[in-house]
Amino acid sequence: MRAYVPDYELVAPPDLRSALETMASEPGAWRPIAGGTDLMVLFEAGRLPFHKLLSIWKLDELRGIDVTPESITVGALTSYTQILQHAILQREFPLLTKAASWTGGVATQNRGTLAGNIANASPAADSPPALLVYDAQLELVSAAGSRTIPYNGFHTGYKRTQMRPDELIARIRLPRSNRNWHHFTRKVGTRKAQAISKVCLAAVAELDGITFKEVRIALGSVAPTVIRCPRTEAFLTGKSINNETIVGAKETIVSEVQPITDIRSTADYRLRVTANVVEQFLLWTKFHACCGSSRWADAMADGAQDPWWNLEEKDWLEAFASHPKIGEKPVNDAVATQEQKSIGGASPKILAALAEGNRIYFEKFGYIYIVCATGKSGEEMLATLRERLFNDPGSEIRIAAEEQQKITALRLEKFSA
Amino acid sequence: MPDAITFTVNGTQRTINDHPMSRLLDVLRETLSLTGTKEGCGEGECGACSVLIDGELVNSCLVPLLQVDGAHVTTIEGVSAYKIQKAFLDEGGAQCGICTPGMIMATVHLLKRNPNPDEQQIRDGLAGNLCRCTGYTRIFEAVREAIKPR
Repeated sequence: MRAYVPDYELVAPPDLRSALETMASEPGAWRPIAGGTDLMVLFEAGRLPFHKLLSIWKLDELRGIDVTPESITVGALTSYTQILQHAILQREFPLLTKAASWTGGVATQNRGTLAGNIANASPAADSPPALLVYDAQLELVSAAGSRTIPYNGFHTGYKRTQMRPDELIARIRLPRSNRNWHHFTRKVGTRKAQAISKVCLAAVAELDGITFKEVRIALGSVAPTVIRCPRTEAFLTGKSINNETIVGAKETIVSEVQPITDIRSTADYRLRVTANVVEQFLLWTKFHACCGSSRWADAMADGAQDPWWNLEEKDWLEAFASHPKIGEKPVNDAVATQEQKSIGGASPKILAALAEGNRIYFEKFGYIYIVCATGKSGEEMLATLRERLFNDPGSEIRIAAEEQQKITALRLEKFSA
Repeated sequence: MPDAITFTVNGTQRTINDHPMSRLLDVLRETLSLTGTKEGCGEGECGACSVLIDGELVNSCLVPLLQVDGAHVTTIEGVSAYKIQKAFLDEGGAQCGICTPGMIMATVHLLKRNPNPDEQQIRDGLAGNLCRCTGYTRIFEAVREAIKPR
C-alpha cells in the first residue's frame, strides 16, 4: 500500500551545521535522505519506517573529490556518475568504478551516493566489497565533532553500523599506494543489468614473482554484512598459484562465510559460487601477472581458448602499458627485474641510447617499446629498437603483440614449473 | 502548511504548495497536468518517469518535491527532440508507448553528453529504461538512426 504523504515530514537544512544540530536535538528521530534511491523506494511502497526526514542533498560541504599524494577523499554525496568519471579513481581504484557501473542505470547513478550505499548497510550493496579491499576509512561528523574510523568493522550486523544516531558520514578516504596490485571483481546475479547480487567478490593481490605477497578479499551477500576474509587472505600469503593452493583457498573461504537462503538464492548455491569466484580470482591473477590485458586474463580464467589474436588493439595496448620501459629500473616489479636482468651489464651510454630510443618510439607509435627481454643484452635490444623504428604502425603493433606473447609464454612456464 | 516550493519546469517558473515529500512525478502529472511523464514501476527500476533535473537524468518517482526547490526540471513536453522522436516512429521503437517518453529523455541525455555513442554506449545509456514490447532492438536502431548525419 502506498504511503500516506501527510504522515511524513521532510526538511532541508541550509548547511551542514544546522543539519547536525537538528540531528543532535532529537537523536535518532531524523533520518538523513540524499539521492533517495533507497529510501524513496520504501516510501512509495508504504514501508519507510522513518517519518522525519532530513534532506542533505544540497549540503555542498559533503561534495567533491579531493586528491593528495597520500589519499583520495570522496565526499559523502559523490554520485556513482562522478565516481565513474574520475580519472584517478578509474586508474587506482578500478574495483570501485566497476561497482559504480553496476549500480542501476544512468538515472540511479546520477542520484545514488557512495555514502548512501554505505549507510543503507545492505550486505548486497555493490561498492562496499571494493571499499573493504582498498582499506577505506570513514569520517563521521556530528554536532559534537568528527572522528575517522576504518570501514572494516563499520557494519556490526544486518543493517546495523557503528554510527551513532546523531552522526552523518561526511567523507570516505581511500589511501593511495604505488603497490603493484592486481584488481579483480566478480558479481554474480540473476542477469547482467540492474541485478542485486547473489555473491559479489572484490579482491586485490600483490605478487612477488609467482607467490602472493599480500592478498585482500571481500565478499558481499554471503553474510549478515559485507566481510573481509582474513583466514583465506592469511592462507594465500606466501603461496604460489597452483592447484593445491586453489583447493586450499576454496576450503578456507567456505569456512568463513555464512550465506542464507532468501528470495534471491539458496545458501548452497551461494556457498558453491563463493568457492568458484575465489578460484576464478586466483586463476585470473596468475594470467594477469603474465599479460596485463584484463580481457585476455578474463577469457583465460574462464577456460576459453587463448584469445590473444582476436582481441582489439586497445587490449594489446593495455597489456603493453603494464610493463616498465626497457632500461628503466622496474619499480615494485620483481618479475620485470628478473626479465631485464641481462641489461644489468649495459654501459651508461647504451642505457642513455635506449632511453632516447624509447622516447622516439613512443612518439612515433604511441605505446612503449615491447621486446621479450629474457636473455637479451642491452646492445641487442637497442639494435632491435632502432630497426623497428622504421616499421609502419600497422606491422609494428603486430610485432609488439608477438613479443608480448613470448613474454606471456615464458611467465606462464614459471607458474607451472 | 509548509512553505511553497518554487522551481522552473520547461522554462516556466512554478510555485507549488504540495507536501515536500510529494513525489516529483505526482506533482508533474497531477498538479501541473504534465502527463507525458509516465509512471511504470514507481521504484526506480523502469525509467518510464525519467526527467532532467538541472540537465541530469533522474527517475522522478524517487525525487521528493522539496529537493527540486530552485532547480530546472525538463520533462518530455519541454524537450525539442524531433529527430529522436521521428527516429523512434520510423524504426518502430515505440509500441504501447508507456516507456517511450522515458526512452526519449534518456536518449536526449545520452546524446547531449556524447553526440556519437557506439553500440555499447547506447546500451549503457538506456540500461535504466525497460520496455516490455519491442525487445529493445528497434529502440537501439532508432538511436542509431537519430545520430546519423544527414
